[in-house]
Amino acid sequence: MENLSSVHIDSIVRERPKYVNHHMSRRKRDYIFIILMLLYPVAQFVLTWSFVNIQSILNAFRVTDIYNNTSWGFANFTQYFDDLFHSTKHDSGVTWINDTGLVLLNSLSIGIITVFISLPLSLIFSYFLHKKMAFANVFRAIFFLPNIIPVVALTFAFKTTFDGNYGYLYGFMRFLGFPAGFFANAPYCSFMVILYLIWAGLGYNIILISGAIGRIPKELFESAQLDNAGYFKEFIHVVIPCIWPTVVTLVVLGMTNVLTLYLQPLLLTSENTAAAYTISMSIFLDAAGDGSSFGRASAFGLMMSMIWAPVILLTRHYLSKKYEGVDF
Amino acid sequence: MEDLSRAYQGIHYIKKKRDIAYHVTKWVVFAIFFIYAASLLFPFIWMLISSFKKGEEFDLNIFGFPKEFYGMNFIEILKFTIDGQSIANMILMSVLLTVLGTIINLFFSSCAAYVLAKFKFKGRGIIYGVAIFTMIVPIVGTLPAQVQMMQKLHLDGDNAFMGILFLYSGAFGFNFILLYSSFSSVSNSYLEAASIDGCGRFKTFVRVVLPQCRGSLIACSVLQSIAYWNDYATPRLYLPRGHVTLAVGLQSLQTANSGNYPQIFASMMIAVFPILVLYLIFQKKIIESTNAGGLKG
Repeated sequence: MENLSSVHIDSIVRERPKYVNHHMSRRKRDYIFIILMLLYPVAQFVLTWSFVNIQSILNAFRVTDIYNNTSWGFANFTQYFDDLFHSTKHDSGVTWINDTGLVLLNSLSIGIITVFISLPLSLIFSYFLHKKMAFANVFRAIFFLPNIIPVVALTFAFKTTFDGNYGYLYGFMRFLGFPAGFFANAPYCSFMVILYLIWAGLGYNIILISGAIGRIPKELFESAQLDNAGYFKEFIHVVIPCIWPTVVTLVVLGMTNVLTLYLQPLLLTSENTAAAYTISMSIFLDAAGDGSSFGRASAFGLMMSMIWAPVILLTRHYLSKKYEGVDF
Repeated sequence: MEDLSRAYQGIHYIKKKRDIAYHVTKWVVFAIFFIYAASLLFPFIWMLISSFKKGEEFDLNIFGFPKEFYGMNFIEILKFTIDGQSIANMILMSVLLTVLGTIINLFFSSCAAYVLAKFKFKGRGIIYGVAIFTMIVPIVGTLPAQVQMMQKLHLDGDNAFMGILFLYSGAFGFNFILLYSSFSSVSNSYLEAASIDGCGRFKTFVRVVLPQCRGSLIACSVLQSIAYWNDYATPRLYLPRGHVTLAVGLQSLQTANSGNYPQIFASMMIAVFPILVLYLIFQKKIIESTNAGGLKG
């Protein structure tokens, strides 16, 4: 053993000079290594992030007329307000609100549904999964499936369920009074999008909430039981306060959906149902277009971010105050 | 004494009643869970079974088992073309983008995370802070500008494949955070020992640090490859027609081959199968990483 270690040390001592560059200090070599390791990641980040954001702001203020003359101003912004309050465009098929208003309404309703339906459902589901429910892990794994399955396949599976020829829930929807073509006609397509978001949107929340519930000390549940607290009281007075930071995170994520969600309505309605447009869906379709609407899309996105981001931050600020100092 | 026993009886009665309510609630919730789980699984099981039916048989027997398992749907759909591109080619595009994208992303994320986690230098805090800030703050409406950037860099059209890899190579994302915390937890004594053994900095990173963080690297690569395999928006925006990925092709296939449902189901199964295999193998890691990524508000 002694021989082995002496051989090893000997070899290190003999080999070391090969690697040492006496002309360069250790610190200098550290810096070269740091620069080489960070060169591409930082350059890629600076290029994409700064270019994209600066260009986006420029797009928003750049106005190009039909003769391709460029000028600068707020025309892209004012046009949106003009469309919102004065437009009589009803391509969506909804008569009581114009198309621009409908885009905002769709986006807002997605946020409301996520926060006030999907989140409470996820909380209740997670709570009962934690209560030594039979097959809890199997359920948790299945509930998470929509998060890993390609959204194209998932939306197709959902649509097929309501297909006029083969869907096993088609008859049920007709019985409820839905006319044929649920995904193509207003306002039913918006309802189907919302139904899909609830159906497919619980798994991610359940994983996060289950993790948070799992971190609550068992003693708290035991003391609640000693106090004869039932499911409801335990859920309201023990679970919710203890996992409040996670709830706040999920509220914030739900609220950002107002600005960011587009893929699901896009795929459910095959990109061509104006009644299902959301803020980011209309921006995506403008980006996928010929470039003539880049300015409008950028202005719309910038404006919505500036209006909605403070709302999210304020909500987060006030919600965080409710149960301060809790961190499970 | 009699009063006491009556009180005990009362408490016993309330407890029994509550126990019954507990059990009833649990069974009702179990039934709801079962129905919800079935609603998630059933469409895919039905699609899988139907993908083995012949077109004519599917029209007559929508929900039953196939009389004979017809595997040719899977072969025929691979040959089916949209805009001159076969589904097999779309799968190849998806595989290439997923594998290369994941490798590139993981490589650059780990380079950045390692240096920021283990080396102290000026600007380290700024880089970390900016990376986190830009991840958290969503700025909407930048998609047109991104398209313009790709056009200016000539990374669209025929070069779109490289362009998408360029977009996928962004190092400061979810993987960066996970790897940063993983690298931070590696003891510095390993690095010092490697240095004494004459190991260079990069060799220490590759031979000493990365193997110790194998768990996080696997989790990141699994999640990243799932995300890239499933990605619809980026290939839809940049890849020209006739050179798209499976995710984009599946959407077009629904109208291009609308008459033959079993073949469409077969293509959906081809898209879902690799993901399901990954999920079955790495389910625990995927769920753990999702939990770790859920930053508190």
